[in-house]
Amino acid sequence: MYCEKCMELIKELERSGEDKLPHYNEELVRQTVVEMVQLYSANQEDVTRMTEGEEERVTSVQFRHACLERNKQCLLAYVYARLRRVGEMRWVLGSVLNTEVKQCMSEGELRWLAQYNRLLAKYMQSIGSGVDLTGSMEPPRSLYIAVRAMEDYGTIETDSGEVVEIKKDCQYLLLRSQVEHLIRLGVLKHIES
Amino acid sequence: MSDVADVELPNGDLSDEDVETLSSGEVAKKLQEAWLNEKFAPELLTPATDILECMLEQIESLDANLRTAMDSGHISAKMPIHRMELERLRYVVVSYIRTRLAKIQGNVWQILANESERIKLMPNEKVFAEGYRASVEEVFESSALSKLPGSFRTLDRTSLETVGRPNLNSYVFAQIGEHQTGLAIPEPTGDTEDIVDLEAGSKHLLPYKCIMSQIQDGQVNLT
Repeated sequence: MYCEKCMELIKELERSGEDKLPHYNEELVRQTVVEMVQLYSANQEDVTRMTEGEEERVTSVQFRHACLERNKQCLLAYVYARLRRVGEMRWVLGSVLNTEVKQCMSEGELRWLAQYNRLLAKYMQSIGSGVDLTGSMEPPRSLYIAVRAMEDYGTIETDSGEVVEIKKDCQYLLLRSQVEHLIRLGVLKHIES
Repeated sequence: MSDVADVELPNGDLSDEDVETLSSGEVAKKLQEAWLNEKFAPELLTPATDILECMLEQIESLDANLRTAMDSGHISAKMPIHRMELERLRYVVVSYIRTRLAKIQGNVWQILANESERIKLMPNEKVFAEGYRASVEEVFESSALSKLPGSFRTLDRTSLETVGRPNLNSYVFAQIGEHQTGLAIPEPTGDTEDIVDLEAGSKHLLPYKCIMSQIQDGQVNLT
């Protein structure tokens, strides 16, 4: 049946959950395109026959056209939905995504991410210095928070110029604004008291 | 939000373009209103550019003052309070900008295609929106469109305008600022309308569409 492959692409995204990025399904995309090329050439043939007098072929032409449109719509929806997810991940994880995520992305998506980062950086610069849009994701409840390091991260420099070394299983009391992004990355864990 | 006027600022009064002098506390309040409205409205609203600029300047100077105070060793008990204030202001500003960016990204084709939507963009937002649209269309082209046969190779921008279109009939909580008379509120079934008067100071749950223009004028705020 026509349009099954393109629906499979959409179902794949549905099944994976809203914030997960499955591997870019190069193969299914290719098969959808192949189906579209076949439908299109069959239609072209039919249209030629119709001009020669075989009027009854019009219904099959219309049907194939509908399939072609459905295929195109699903393809674009697939690409767009994935771009949105990549964008979401960039906001949560930072401008450099880890290799696991990158392996799931297509070349076009990787290029898009680089462009998106540039757009965001340009926008943040235009607002003024000292405004990081990816900071302050939640309303600040306190100035300092107690965190525990989940892994060895190395050294970070705080606002006051102090250099703090992040070692696994050590606890720290740090300014919320300094460590927000590390908590999001999972390097530090907020200790609820 | 507390009044930050007791911290040394360039000048105690901050003026916006209408030559209306507002105290820093009033600016913060206006920003909070703009932020909440933007958060709860389904569509992009007219930006509070002046308030935003004011606030950004204030944040910068507050930050600078706190740093000089810290560097000079002048540590007072009020400092954590000021720092907390700074963090809170920063959060509201950043959240406001982020909410707008998210709306722009979600509905970029419609916003850029319609004049009435386009004027709601601040200049740097417009640059961002155009760049964003171009980047997405480039991926469409390379990943899908370039491989398609014949007339299917072109991108129909008008069909994309329905993507992410905000639902103007969604229900919102509204705080009535100025008394509203003769407001038409459709019944949930959709076929009839109720004409109501809403009193100042009351709170209601109603479709966003009914109070769209009132929010624009500042007569009604969303909570």
